[in-house]
Amino acid sequence: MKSPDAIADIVRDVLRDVLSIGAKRAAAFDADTPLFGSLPELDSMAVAGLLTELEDRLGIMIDDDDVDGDLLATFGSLRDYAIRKVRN
Amino acid sequence: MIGRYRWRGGEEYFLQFGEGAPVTLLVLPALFEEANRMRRFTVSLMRALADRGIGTILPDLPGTGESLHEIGDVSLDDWREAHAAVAEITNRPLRTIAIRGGALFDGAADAGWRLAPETGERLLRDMVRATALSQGVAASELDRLARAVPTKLAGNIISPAFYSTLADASPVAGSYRTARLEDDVADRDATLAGSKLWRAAEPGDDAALVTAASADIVAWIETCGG
Repeated sequence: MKSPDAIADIVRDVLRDVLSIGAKRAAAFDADTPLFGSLPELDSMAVAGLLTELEDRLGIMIDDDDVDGDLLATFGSLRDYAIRKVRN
Repeated sequence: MIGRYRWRGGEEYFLQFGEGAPVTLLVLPALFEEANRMRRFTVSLMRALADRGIGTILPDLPGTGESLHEIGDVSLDDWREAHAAVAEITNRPLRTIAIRGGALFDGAADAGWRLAPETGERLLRDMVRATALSQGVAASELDRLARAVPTKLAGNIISPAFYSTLADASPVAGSYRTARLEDDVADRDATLAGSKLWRAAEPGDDAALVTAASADIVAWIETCGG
């Protein structure tokens, strides 16, 4: 099973692809970095792609009912959700 | 150059590079929003191939680009018909470059090269999810709606027939070379370094991916007998 750090790195990589940002900016994301509502690039189409990529790369299924503003509020909330999903 | 091709529903434009080259490939672009995101890359790839002596033709499909048809009035058969019509302009054997959902339409090719081919079901899932998120409705409800009435999904009005047919469409097996990016999880014949432009929120280009993809296509054409 992937370690929490490895999962966090994958979440970071996916955000980097979806937001078209440099590795440096993605590396600076911490638990409190706000996402949805704070990043104009992160529109609903980008979020849909983000979820699909996370499913593919982590081998998880994301229930659409789980997807709301809380899940995507910060890098930390998205990372913790991904870690929980991989463990279950 | 820009040309026109005629299909049963009228005329559409196509973009051509490398006119008069011994080999001309038909380019089947990514679909819907992904088409916008991949447009610059697709044209860059066509230019790179022209520099290496390979011609390409990129059609506007009915309901896309400069087409006078509304996307909501278009069926999947219209797209297949349009592809067959524009394929008449390329030389034989018919060889295609399909990007993402474009691979759902390369079944008539004698041989084809695919970049990150995708099923219709997964393409629609992204569009349904995006629409569900922006409208605050359940994805399952939207899926039911789209099968019953024309529904706007991620900016495109899609007819129920189109939706249902696309949902069941998968790239066919055959003489195809599949290229994927490093962090893609599915089967492939070649792995290319680059970024997933179809996921990027803003349309972009990737010079390294253009170089890697064009080199792989040139090598593939040589194995096909030039």
